[in-house]
Amino acid sequence: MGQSNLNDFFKPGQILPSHVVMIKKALEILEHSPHGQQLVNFVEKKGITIKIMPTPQPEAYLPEKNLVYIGFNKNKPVSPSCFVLMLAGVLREAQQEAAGIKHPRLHAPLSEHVEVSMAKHEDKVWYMCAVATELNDQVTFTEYKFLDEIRKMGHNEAIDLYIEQERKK
Amino acid sequence: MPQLQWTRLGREQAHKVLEQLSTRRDAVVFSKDVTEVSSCHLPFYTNYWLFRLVNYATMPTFSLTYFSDGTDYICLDGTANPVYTVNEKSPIQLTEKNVLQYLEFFFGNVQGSEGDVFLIKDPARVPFMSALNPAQQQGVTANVKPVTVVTDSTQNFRVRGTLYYGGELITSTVVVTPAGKITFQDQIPVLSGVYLPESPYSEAWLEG
Repeated sequence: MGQSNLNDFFKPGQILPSHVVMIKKALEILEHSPHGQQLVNFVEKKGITIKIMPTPQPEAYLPEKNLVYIGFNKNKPVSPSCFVLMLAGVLREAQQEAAGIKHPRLHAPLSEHVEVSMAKHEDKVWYMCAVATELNDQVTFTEYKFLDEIRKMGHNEAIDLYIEQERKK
Repeated sequence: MPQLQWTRLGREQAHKVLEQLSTRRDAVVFSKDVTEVSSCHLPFYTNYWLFRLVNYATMPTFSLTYFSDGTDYICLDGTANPVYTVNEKSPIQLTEKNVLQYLEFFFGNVQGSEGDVFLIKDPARVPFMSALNPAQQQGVTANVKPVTVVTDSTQNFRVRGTLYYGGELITSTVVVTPAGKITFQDQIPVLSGVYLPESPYSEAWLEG
């Protein structure tokens, strides 16, 4: 008992690499996965701007089709593997938008919101599972523990289903 | 502290806020068409209000909260810096009556390396209590001390109580200076291994 010191609460945020370096590294890592490579190609081809913003909780945000944000709390930064997977997810969303699969209008019927938004979400999570599995299989990234990370992100069921499906192929 | 009372701004006012924010160098993009802006007054600030922007065109919705006096905007980013900055710019008005509200606001918007700090005011109403096993529930009930607030000779507020942080219950004195700076003294861990399934703030603030 007694591991937590409340005064740690106010320690300045961890020293992190610059935003440019974090984004560049994440894209380099993504390039090692076939699905990730496809996202990196998309970023280059469409001129997608990637930004980092300070947010209380980890967030990935796509306000415009060519602009994505990754946000996290400086007091509790996301791990590099989480950052890579968040980036993969939001870039997949950008791909959906580019392909014309857009979020329903605000006043669209609830059924449309449920159907389209859920389909988009499932596709995004499935893509993140693909990237996580492909990177996890590479010795270079053993320490990143991509599969553990995607589970921590709340996608336990999805990753189990994905692995099961891949096994059946 | 009652839940924050947010008031939705009209279209014109909302657009004014979004326009002001969009001129900032570090502006995060919010589309006027799909963003709702709400404001909220906090009793310990006179010049600064909270403004919450929610983009409803994403799933899940995306939101950011800013302090603003109408011209200056400071984004709440989960660290103490924005709160302390506002405390300096527009001196905070703390009293024995509102210091608990301040702490609840502060802890609700600032996270440490091990997550949220949650001041337990009522052991019977700890968020996610039902997720704990019976022994832990008993441990929580037995170890939570009633919250007391006193002002010391240096005009600091001394709030004694039990806090949840990093999977532990810790009885501590939270020292709050009149300028709103916070430190913790006399920390006594009283129960460990208390892991709530989610942030205690993801359940609405339970106490009125």
